[in-house]
Amino acid sequence: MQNNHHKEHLYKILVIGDLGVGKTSIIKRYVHHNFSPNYRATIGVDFALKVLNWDQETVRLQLWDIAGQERFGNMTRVYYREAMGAFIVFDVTRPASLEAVAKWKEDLDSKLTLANGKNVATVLLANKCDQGRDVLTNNGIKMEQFCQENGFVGWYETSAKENINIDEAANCLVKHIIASEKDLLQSEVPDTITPQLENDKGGTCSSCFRSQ
Amino acid sequence: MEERSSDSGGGRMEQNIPDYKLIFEKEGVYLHTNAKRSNQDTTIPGFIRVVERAGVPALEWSPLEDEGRCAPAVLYSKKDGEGGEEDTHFDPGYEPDWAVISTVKKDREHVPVKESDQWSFSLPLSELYSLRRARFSLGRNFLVLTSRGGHPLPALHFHRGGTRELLRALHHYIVLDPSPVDGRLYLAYPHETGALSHSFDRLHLLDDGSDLVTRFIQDPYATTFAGFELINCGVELGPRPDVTRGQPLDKWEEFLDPEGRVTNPDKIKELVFRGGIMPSLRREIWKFLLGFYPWNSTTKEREDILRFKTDEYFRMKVQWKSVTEEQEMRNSLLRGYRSLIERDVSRTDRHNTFFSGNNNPGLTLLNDVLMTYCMFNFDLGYVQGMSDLLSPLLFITQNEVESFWCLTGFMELVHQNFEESQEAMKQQLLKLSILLKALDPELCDFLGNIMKTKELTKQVKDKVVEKYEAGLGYKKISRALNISLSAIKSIIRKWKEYDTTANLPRGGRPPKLKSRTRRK
Repeated sequence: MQNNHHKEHLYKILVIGDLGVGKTSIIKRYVHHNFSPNYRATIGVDFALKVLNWDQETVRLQLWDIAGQERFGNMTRVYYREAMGAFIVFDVTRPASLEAVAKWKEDLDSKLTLANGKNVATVLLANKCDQGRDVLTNNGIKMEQFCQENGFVGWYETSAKENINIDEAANCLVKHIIASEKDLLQSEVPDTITPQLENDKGGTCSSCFRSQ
Repeated sequence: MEERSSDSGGGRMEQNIPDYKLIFEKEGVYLHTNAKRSNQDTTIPGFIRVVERAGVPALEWSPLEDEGRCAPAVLYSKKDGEGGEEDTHFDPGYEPDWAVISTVKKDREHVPVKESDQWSFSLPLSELYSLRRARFSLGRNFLVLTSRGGHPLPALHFHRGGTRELLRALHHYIVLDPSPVDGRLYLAYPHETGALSHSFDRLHLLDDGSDLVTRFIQDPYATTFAGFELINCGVELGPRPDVTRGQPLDKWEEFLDPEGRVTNPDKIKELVFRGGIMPSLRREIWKFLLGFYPWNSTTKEREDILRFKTDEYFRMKVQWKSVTEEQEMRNSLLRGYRSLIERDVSRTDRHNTFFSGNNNPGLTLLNDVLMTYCMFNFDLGYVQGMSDLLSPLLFITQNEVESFWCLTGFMELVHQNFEESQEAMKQQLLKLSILLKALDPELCDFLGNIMKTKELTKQVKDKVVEKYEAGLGYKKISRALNISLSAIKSIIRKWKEYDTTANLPRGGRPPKLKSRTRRK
């Protein structure tokens, strides 16, 4: 029944982080395959759509490019609504932008949760890795620890300019989004048994009503 | 719209009334008596109806067993000073001073009256003052109507839903406007022909920072697209005036008197508004338009102003220039502004020759003017977007000091757009949505539906419940109806809990007043 049922997924993904860390550049590289050193500051929010083929299914990523200064405003709540995943970006050449990562994550988690109360999948991007690294990103173990402590599902050193690791990071995020979506379905109504024909392994009492 | 033809009991009983039209009917509406007038039945099942009697729309309730009777027991009609003589027919030529003349049942001529019948009523919609929709337990809605005479009618409990549909039916005749102080309370107004003026009344409502604005701040999208059902009668705009672009303003000297005062600023503004300014004159005229020079200043006075303002600019510039690295280490705000500005300067209009290439002096000017603006207005500081405003000012004036003062003048006009609360931005969006609602309601509804997070129609939700009851699992329903699992989950959850798929009103009154507004 799968063959004539081409499934489509649409996921809203947020791209957040301090201003000038390269959010717009990452999106442009990912969606339009190009790079310019002269992107303007993003005011408010911008959008881009990326279509992926994923296990014979279509995945549409709606990328929300949110202005870096927005954390100071109170519109982020509106922008975050119904997102399924997020990239939080920092600039490896600017340690301060990594400090801000935790604040962005906190803002995100406080304003957005999935239906089951869990946080949305978030991947950390250490951008501008072509311009050198700072001490922290040089230390993989430290970064792993940072990700664990702050609830990131993974991190990547990226360069929008040199096209490094952007597809990889996006695939990682999509993978986690799909997993968390499955998780959501499983946690649907924990105290309800959903009768299913395929489910032939034990537990089904013969006197139970079986749906078709 | 749940409009039913008159094939039910409700229709039959009215057939002997001339010019009677049933517009809306809903069964399962229980009238709760206050046990004041009667000490028996405290709830009486019945019908709520919207009817037109001789063209006059009215809201009526009658008990279930009240078949074959034609007139409601209690009529709310025009005051006639006759001491409570009841009309069974409405005077079509009524004046708007309806009032309750009697809530006491007078004996009807022929039909013996059952206890429950005395509660039936008919309220002309012009007589409806307010309507409060509240939620009882189990998601059951009840309505309390108040007539213009100030009398509350008995509460009506909608055991089988239908309040939303009723409100919609009423919308055809009257405007139901949510009260600014209580979202569950609707105030009734007649539809006016001057819809436009009405809509601008509402704009005033916004301007004094009232409820809608605060609500908007809390939930901008929802409020924008839900709060303005008022302007749903097509607005008749007058014919579009014929506008043509004028010639750019290309004379300047002739507008100056011998001392250099601008003789007719309004004329200048008018010309600029219609046609803009010749590029070569912009440098001069922008300084007036942006408030650097007063229109009535003389050439001599302007020289003084320039000298004074130049000093003031450099005094402020020195303030941030002289901050040492060590000081800045302990000044996170200043450090923050500096970092923001640095980031944005490097990406402002870099394709323009004035700012292109590395080490272009234009970039230093952008940076210095923006840093100095932070000293001028430290509370506001630097906000993204300012560099974009300054860039053309610098380009036109080609002067650090003049561009700075033009920027301050400009910010004086638009600073609200940059404030952290973003209230001004929200107000502008709100006004935009009002205009859109008036000018292109279809597009507005379309956008509103998108914003309403893809809300499913009641029919679809009922389908979900139907399939669930048939024993299908969530996944199967999801696949069959192409609805997300989480949506199905929540529909079923609500159905189990409240036994309905309809939208429930929000519990309790949403907090609307900020402490600041409340103090007013």
